[in-house]
Amino acid sequence: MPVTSQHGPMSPTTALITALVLTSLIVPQILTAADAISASTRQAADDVVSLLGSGDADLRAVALDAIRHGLKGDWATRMVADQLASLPPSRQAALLLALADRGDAAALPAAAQVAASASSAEVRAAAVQLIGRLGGPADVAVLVTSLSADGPQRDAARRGLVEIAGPDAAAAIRAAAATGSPATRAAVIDALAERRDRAALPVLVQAAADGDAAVRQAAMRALARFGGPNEIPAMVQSLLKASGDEQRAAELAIASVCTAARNAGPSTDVLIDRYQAADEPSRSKLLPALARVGGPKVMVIVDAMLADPARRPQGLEALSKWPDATVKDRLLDLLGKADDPQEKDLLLGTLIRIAPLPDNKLNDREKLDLLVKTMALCERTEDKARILERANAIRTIETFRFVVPYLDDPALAEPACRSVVELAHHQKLRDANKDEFTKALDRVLGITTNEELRERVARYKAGQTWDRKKKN
Amino acid sequence: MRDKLPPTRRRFLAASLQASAAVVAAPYVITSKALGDATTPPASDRIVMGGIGMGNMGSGDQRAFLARPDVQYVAVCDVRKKWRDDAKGRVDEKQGSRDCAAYVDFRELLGRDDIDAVHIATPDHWHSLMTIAACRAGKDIYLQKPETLTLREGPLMIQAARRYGRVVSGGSQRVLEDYREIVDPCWAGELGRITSVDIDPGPSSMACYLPAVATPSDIDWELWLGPAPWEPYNPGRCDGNFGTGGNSWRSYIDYSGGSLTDWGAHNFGGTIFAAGLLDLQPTKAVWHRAAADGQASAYATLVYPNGVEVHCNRPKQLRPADTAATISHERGITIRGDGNAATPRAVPAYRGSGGIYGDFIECVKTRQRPFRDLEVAINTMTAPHMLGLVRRLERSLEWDRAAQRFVNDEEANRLLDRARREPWTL
Amino acid sequence: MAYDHIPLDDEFKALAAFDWGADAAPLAKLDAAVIACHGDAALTADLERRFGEIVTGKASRAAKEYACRKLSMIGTAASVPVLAPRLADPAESHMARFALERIPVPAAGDAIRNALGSVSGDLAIGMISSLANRRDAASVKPLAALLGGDAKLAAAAAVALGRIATPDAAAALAAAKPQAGPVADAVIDARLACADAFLAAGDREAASTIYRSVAATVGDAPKTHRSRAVRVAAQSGLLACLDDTVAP
Repeated sequence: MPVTSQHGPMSPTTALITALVLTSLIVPQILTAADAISASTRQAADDVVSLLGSGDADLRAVALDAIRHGLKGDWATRMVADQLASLPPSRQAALLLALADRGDAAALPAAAQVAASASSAEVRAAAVQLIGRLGGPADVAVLVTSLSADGPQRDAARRGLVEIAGPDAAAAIRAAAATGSPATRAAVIDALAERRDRAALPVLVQAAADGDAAVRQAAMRALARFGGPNEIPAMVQSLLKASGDEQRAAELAIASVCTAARNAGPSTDVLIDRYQAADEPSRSKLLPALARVGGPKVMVIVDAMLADPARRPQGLEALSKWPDATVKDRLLDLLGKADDPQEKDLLLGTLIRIAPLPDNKLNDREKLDLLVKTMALCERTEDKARILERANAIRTIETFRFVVPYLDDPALAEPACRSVVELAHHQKLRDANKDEFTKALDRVLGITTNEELRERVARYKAGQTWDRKKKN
Repeated sequence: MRDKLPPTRRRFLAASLQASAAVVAAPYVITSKALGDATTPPASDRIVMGGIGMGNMGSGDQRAFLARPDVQYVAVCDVRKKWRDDAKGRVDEKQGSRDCAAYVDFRELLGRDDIDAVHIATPDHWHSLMTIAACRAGKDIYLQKPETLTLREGPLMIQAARRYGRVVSGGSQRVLEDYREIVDPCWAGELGRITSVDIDPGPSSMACYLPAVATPSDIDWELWLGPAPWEPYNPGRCDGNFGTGGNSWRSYIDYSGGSLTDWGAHNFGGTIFAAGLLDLQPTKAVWHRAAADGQASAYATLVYPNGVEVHCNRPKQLRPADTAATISHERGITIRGDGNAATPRAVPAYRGSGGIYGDFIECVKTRQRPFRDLEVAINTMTAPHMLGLVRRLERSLEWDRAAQRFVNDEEANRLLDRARREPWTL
Repeated sequence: MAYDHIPLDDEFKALAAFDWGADAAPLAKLDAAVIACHGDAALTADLERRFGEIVTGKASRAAKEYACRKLSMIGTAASVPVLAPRLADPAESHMARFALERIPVPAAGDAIRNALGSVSGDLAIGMISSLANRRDAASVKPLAALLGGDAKLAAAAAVALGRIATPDAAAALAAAKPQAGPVADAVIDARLACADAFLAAGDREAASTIYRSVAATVGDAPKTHRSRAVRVAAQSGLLACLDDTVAP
């Protein structure tokens, strides 16, 4: 019993260990003339070092906690960091993390050495993490190099490039975005995006026109996060050169800037200007981005298209990408007048898409009303089925009551079953209308042979939940 | 005094080192599944967990922890049979056994030495008591928000967590995940120094006068009430739904701070995070009476020691016009800066992988402090609690953080806490 | 609802007849009056007297509970004689204590402390809990006397002494020699709480004495989560005692 031993002789083993610890006397070697600490603190520091070497995780945790929050002064940081080499790898990693939390850059030299020489990936990752937290401009190169490493070290480097502080470090990261392999450059640009480094906007604008797709797309992702009206022209150029998935991603990036919490209006104005100034092929490519922004100014452009028979298909295409339900009356009106089957398909599909969108500017009742109206305009079974399936995104009892009668329609019973079951998934809705749901779920059992649906019904009826993930 | 420190201190530590050898030889985590497989770590590397309070939020937390290969889930606890059975069923189904234990009384679960960590998602009136008990039992804790019901509870919980070296994470996943559009620009320095915030917190909780209804057999009503005043059973009093306008425990003052602290934990959490106030508590809560002409309703302003003013429910017509250094969030939050250059800082991230749950588990392993460390959570909750008191008292209050008391307002200090019903004690 | 200085006779009449499930509208006016009486001694005294009459009258449990809640906000020494007799009644004890615990006059603490000597079981634990919340230094002696008796009371008393955390409280805890079990655990928790309080107050010597003593109770190789946590508490406390680079 260690504490009570003060009242009696020490055991031989205790005496031996005590002697070993006493000979370590690390603190005096670390202290400089400027480090005026008390004998008491000196002992605390020595004890922390002793505990770091303990085989007991609890005692090591006590030491690590003291390193994180106690023993103020860079002498203590140096003292503790000097222990790194003597520890086994997992403890090295733990100590590096504690030193990172401690926040004293005096730990950097030791961490840099470990990052360069450690054989353990866990230790290297921890060292890189520390460098990211505490490092400066000279350490950016280590982080960029670590982007090419595997797993945890790469992840730590990515995070480190986000965390490393100071204007000079930021400048070094911006410079790194222009050199190296495309994969590295893309990762560096992702870090610039996470840093929301506005000084990097010129770098990002340039990268948006890069010859490498990965770099271009990273730049567009970054610009999507904090670009503004000044960057829209470059983003437009990038979109005009893109195709396939990159084109769609570019559309979304531009729409993101034009609908952001700040500068949405000015950005949209620039986009519209660019659209107006573009030639016809370019306009075709820009129109989807414009449509995804929506809003009254874009609506003027789309209305002009709809009024022009030659451009009407483009106008309809634009409406089909509208981000909210503010166009519902136009769509319903156009649908009522449409003769062309393809045009009808497009309009109907758009209505079915936008009606239940979560942020479409309609309340639940209006959303359902729109779906009900759309249903009345449907002739084909597959369209009606889509409506029934989309309806379950509106989680109300009124939606449930809209769907349930279709259980009687042999052609639509299966999608109605799916929708009823999906609505039943929401326990609050189900419990608040227990009788209605129980009856409907019983009917679903009489209709569907789909095993998953039947299992879900059984669970919901028993008051249980169903884990979507387990089927994935 | 330094010179008088006992010379045996080193001996104590040395003997502790000696003792550690025995611990290494006999790992304390011994579970039924000692060996892992390709996706599941061996038992000695898994965190053994149990859950207390398995209703709406508890079941969600349970699912998140159950899905983790580095968690071995062994026990559930709820005073309601249905939730208890459901929760046990989820564990048994997931683990292909019937081993999950089910308890009515949380003390039994905390008494199990094989459990490393617990998640708690009971009504708020239990949070402090269970958290402190779990700390004393040496468990790490994932605690649903709002972490406290009263102002006095917070420091006692922090003391317990720090004393026993426990990892305690608050449970608002939204703070980091839902407010990035205001957090990112603020931390990037785009607004300059943050000067003021407008936020529209929901209503406070209210007294409950629901009539008595026969207590069903599937609930231990005495244990549900626990430290709260005795009141007759009524399903509307104890329903776990998310409503705060009546018919749920979140509506009532004995069990919750109402929407003010429920959604407030998220909205204040996101706001305080964005505005860089995580380490601070307000120094004042200023009550602005409604305008006599009825043109402006009453509101409150929380003043932080760095000068940031958080206006709560300030009428729109009293708010300044937006500038280039203004940013808003769709949940009724507006943050204003001075527009000058400010040093950018990296937005903190969760540790490990798997969101706030992964953050907690990673910290259990590394003994680091989690993203919503209890102290951060308590600082955050101080804001809605103070707001609730100035709303209730309809006067301004000054807060002495060091003393955790209001200055020169003994009546307000009475409301720092409330007597717990016997036999419950903090 | 604003209080408009109406006489409130009807409201108090409604309160006297109130029960759970009844119309609570009249209570809202009483709520408003309790807020409005701040700084108005006459109105406060009038309200206090009338709520006291509810407590001592034949009102329902719900009405008395309501009145106790209000007295917890505005009660003075005048309410102590009203509330103190209720402490021994299992149905009313908690809400009487709910009020007394908050009333910031010594007489309220005296009442709770005195009741501790006349009630038993859970009711006594309630008194202990309130004395702990009041950090009632005058209660150290009666609380210390409980440490060697009934286990539940002893555990609660230990926790309370830890909350009070005066040198006397620490000495009482140090002198307690409970057998292993919940009481021993509570004593250890309380001793750690005292040590933390001493450390925070700058008395590192007193703190380290307790930390060392507590560390000894868990042995060289604690194996349970509980005992390991206690060791962590003692070890980190000892380190904190040594480390004077950090303000306590």
